[in-house]
Amino acid sequence: MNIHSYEKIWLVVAILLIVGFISTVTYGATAVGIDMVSDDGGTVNASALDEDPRFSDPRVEQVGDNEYEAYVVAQQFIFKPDPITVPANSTVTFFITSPDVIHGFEIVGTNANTMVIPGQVAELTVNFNEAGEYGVLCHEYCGSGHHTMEGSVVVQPEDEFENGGAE
Amino acid sequence: MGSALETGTPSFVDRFPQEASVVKSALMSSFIALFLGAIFGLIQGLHRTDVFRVLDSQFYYTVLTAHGVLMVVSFTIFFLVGVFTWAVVRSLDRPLEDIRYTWAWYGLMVTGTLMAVTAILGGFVPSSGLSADVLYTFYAPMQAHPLFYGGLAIFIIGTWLAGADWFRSWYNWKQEHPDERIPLQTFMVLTTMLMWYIATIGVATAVVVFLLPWSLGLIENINPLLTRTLFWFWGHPVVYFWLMPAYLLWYTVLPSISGGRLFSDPLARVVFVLFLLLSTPVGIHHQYLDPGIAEGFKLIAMTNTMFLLLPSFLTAFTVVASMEHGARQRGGRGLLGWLRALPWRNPAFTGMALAGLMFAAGGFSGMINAGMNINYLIHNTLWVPGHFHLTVGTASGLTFMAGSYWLWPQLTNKPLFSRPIALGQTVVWFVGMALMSNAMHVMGLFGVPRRTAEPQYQGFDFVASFGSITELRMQLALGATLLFISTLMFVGNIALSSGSPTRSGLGKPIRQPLSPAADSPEVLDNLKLWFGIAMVLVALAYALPLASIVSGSGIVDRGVSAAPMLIEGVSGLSPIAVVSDAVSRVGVVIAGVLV
Amino acid sequence: MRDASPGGTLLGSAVLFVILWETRSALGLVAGVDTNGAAYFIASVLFVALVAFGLSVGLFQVSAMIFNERRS
Repeated sequence: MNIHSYEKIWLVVAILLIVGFISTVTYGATAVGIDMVSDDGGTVNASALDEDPRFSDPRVEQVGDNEYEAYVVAQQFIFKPDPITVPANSTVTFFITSPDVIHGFEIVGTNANTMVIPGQVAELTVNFNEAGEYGVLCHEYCGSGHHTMEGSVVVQPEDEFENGGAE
Repeated sequence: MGSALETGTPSFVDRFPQEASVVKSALMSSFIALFLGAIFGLIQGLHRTDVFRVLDSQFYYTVLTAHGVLMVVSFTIFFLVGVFTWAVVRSLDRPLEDIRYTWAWYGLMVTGTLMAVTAILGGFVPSSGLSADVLYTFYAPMQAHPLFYGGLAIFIIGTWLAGADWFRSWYNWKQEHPDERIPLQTFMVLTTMLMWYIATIGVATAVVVFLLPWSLGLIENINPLLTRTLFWFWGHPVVYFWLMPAYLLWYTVLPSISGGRLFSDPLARVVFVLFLLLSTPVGIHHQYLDPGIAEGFKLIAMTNTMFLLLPSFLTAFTVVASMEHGARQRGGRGLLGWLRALPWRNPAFTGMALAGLMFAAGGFSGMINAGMNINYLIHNTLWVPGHFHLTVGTASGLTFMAGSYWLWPQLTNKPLFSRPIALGQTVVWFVGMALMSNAMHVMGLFGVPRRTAEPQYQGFDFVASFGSITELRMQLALGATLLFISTLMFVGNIALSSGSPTRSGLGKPIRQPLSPAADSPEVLDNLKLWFGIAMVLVALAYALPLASIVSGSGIVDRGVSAAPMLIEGVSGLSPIAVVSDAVSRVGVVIAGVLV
Repeated sequence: MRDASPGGTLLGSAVLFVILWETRSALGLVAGVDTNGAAYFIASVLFVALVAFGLSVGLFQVSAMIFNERRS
């Protein structure tokens, strides 16, 4: 097959670029440790969330030194709990599910972003550093009130959190 | 005046009048869908930016569903079947085998569209009980009226029959030309349709096995992750179904319009084979943030997606090389000076050139989407519509419009009403799209969500790192308005062309490529081989993820109940009140748009 | 003497405007430079109009300058 020499060069450059992209993404996934949302969260009975010890009482719970777990329910058209209160300098693993339709969960202005699918539990680990307040929104159309579905994440200074600021 | 001189090549309608009739009808369906879809698009652009709200926000989602389905199912695919019919008949130089069969599949596509659109528009009339406020992606457990799913299924069956029509033509041609290479345009059509047959396995299964029976009440539960995964099995290759007709025009028509010839036929074949192989095993890149799918499957989708960039890179080279060849034939000289010698006054050329330029930008934003963990930053934000308005909206949409300026006179024997308006239309589209899409990309980076009627929240503000969110909203609204004006220019120009006097000699020849088919290995034409490999790749990419979803949450998930998407209706209205209510609501919409 | 056709001028103006406008996003996102939207827009439009006018009356032989063509 007759391939023009310029085209051969272009082909090589394109392939190098593609391999470069795959490498950088893989580096981010492995070395830097940005994990994707996966099936680690497991499944759940969407119509029996009140029988699940995590989702019957959506809350933030301490499970270790600076380690917390947040059990969040996304439903038409609210997030529970609201606000989600966590301490600064912590690592929080979110477990998020829905009893009704597919929702989204995004901490606005960050890369904490996941889909919430009824029957599945989305597990997402986030590092919180400084104190502050973030908005949370649902970015997957979930019904006529979709645009009103918002929540917040409040990152409290550690001492404030310990003095009963939790939940 | 009177009859024109017999000059120039006979046009397509001169040589194949019956086939031209079908192609024209398909294109007209496409343009009608575009026009309606554009009205809805303008409403959205003005509503979500809070510039002008003519409807209650709950109806925004009805508008959004209509805009999505009309644009990317009706407008694009009707155009595809029109152009592909023209391409097969022209390149094989033979009429279709049975024109009644052709009209039959076209009729099925129209029927399916009408069913689905009726169900969607029923959302404007709450008392009708008809609605499909589920958006173009119709994710369960949101449930639409069965007419919606039925309409989509019938539409897809129509496209399957269309593919069979073209395969039949080719097969019969092959009996008469046993030693010849498949003509390039037919090769493109056949490889695209093979890709389509593989791709539609996903959505057909989702709709026919699960969603349609579920909406009819025949089954009680479904697994939303499963149907969503089956949707995206189709949801990525469908974008290539939108792009391939544009590529066909770029490869086979654009070089001739540029005054030259296609740089390389063999590489064009390689590109289409690559699309057949790689379009489908990547669908999970639309589900990077889904729970229930393991990271390993997402990584495989990511690598496949990155390789899928290759055929588009190759296309960029071949298309630009062909344009340069044409320009130099027209007398262009210099390292970059040849650009001036291109036929910029020809709206067909300019539209395709601008579409190609914009596609490069769309490709880059697509690369960001494909970057598995980078996707976290932009998933379901306004960045995503910013991306796809560049690709399907411009690379496909603007190329279709530009291609219509070239093709329509050959189907009607009537010249275009106004060349300057056509040229202006392409430029207005380009500028409008640049403004709108730029605003969408930037707002997406600031976290503004897509598919949202009122992205103005109470508890927090979006933070812009330059300028302000308000001016970005204004920019989006301005861009959307320009796009609507451009659509009016296009549709108006085509409609007014029917008043032009009939002329002959409007035929436009397509010249042979510089590097002909004979230069390429014959294995490229072995469609069975490529189809087989494509099926293997799809099986590798999807068997394990689908099996894991089914074993994890079942083929149906009994914990998940249906959520019918009906707007709160008013009961007990008389039929007259229903109709007048609907008319007044639609009237408000149209008045709001036009006034 | 003009060396740009009307179609080419129209198109070149559109492309120039888009390039200028996209540059604003690049400045903002990559370099962190904040610019006033309305002012930048008006300035871009004026600049493009000036270039278009200049090309159409042959005010500058820009293509010759950029594209290294010899003129006698």
